[in-house]
Amino acid sequence: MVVTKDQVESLFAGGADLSQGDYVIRAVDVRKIYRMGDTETHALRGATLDILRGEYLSIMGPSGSGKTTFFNMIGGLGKPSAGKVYIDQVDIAQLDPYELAWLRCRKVGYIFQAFNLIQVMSCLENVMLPMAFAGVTSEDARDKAMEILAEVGLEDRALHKPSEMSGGQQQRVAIARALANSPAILLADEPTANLDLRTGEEIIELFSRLKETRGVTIITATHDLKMLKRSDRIVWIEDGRIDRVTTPEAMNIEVGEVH
Amino acid sequence: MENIGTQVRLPISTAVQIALQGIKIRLGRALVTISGVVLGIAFLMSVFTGELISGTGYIKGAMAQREELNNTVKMMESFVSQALGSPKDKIIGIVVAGELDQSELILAKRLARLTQDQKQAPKEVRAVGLSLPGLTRADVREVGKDASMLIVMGNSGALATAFEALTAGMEQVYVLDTYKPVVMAAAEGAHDVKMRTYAGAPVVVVEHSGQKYEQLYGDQQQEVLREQAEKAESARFRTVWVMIISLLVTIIGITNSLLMSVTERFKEIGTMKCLGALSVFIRQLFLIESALIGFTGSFLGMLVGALLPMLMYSISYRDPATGALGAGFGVIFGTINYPLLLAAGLSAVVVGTLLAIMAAIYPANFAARMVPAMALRSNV
Repeated sequence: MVVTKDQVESLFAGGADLSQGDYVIRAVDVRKIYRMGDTETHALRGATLDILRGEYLSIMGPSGSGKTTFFNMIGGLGKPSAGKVYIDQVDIAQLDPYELAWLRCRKVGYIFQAFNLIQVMSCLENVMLPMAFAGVTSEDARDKAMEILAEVGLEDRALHKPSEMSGGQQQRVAIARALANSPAILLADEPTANLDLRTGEEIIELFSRLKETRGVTIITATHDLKMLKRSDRIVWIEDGRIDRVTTPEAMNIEVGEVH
Repeated sequence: MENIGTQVRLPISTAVQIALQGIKIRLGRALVTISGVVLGIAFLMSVFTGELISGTGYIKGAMAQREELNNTVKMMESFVSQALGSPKDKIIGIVVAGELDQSELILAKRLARLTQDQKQAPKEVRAVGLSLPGLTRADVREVGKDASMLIVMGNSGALATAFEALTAGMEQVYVLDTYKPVVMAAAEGAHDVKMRTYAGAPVVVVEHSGQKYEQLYGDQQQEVLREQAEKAESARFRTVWVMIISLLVTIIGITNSLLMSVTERFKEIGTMKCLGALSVFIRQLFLIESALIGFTGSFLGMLVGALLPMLMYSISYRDPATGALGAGFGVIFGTINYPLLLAAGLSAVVVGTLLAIMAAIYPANFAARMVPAMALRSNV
């Protein structure tokens, strides 16, 4: 299921044709330099990318390509050394820590490879946590959390601890948590990597549904072919730059059915 | 930045709630940390309690009073043995007028017990106005007959005039006046009194007594007192030093355990930050966790540190007169200064909680500095 670099390079067939539209994220010539003592590591060397509202975007790249750094930048988890990142027209470099926290709380929902649910809390409490950070009163948060859990099909497991649930269920709780404050963007880092094929497919299905019903922008870093196939666009990062932007059709991904 | 707000600070209650959940899930670790605090604070509190029971400083504890009593009795006994040599086959007379104080009663009891002692049993210990097993009842006129020593006890000066009658029949007059030298002063002209002392309060003897006592006891007694004071001083210094070290060890223990806790929770902290938690909140979380651990540990430590010394002193308490065990619970639990004990307990809890918060400052800042991107690293 995992695509090697050579395979992908052969699959990419030039940039995708995108009409002008409403951009939810704009990255302009983003550079990031990590300094460790005297050595400088250029993780990003000028990455430019516009992401449309409601788009389903996949980011690919070999390890060390700057993929993770780029992912962090557009998710508001780090500030670029040079260049601009606009999330909903806001330059994140201008934000103070309080505003950044506000942005992370309400504009972006994060989904992790290892789910990252707080083990001490029940599913409901996990989903309520971002709302608590947003200052929502606990009654309102409880009602809304139950609604979202129902949306991901886990309303009957609300009071269970994450450790009592399967991986697929945990990831759905994590998605519910990411949706808690109705963010414009869902940022998912290899969301299916820790799941088996079938549950992975369920998660991909859920993403597609959320894109339709909520109009949320979904950005994933992934090597899962099934995910790539459902994406609107696929971004290939190499050597700190956006190497290619393409569509699944252009990549001609063929995925067999899982039985 | 028209469409960006500023993240609200959460109420402390939310942080307390999450910190409590954190302690609950890592209960094992929390218990180990708590027991470290318990040990440190129990030690601190046991020093406080010990001072309240046996201290000789600003507050005189029950044990210190007992010690003083013991010294008084010992001094009177040593007078008896210096004057008499071995009491074997000698006659000792006791005359009581007025009320006895504790030291006098203990002395009388010990002399009475002496009659049971095979090796040193005096021929007779006779008493006027005092009835104890081992003492022979005697008449005032005959109490001094063939007696090697006469001990005058009680707070009444009424015997002064009867002194001649009392000492009738004594070859050499050794008189121990345990209460007031008045009796002796009256008798001094008429008799060749060899030795006497005033044992009611040893320090007063040294400072205010007549020349005769000083010749006998003054220098020796002062030397003993000075040595005792020096020993107490160095013991106090040692205790303070050990106390400081043990509290430092407690702090380091908490810091170490919290640092491990932070390292273990990298992903959790990163996740919380991704979900919109402020650094302030993360810092609060760890400070509160440590404060809760510190408070619980200090409270338990305070109880242990108060009760354990009280029990130990109670169990090992020997009655000054009989040397018997068992009466200690009444003495220790009945006489300890409870308001001061409460104050010491409160300050031990406050000190423990504050130390725990201090110990958490570095780990909490360490956690607060964590970047949210940490949450994405699945291998941490």
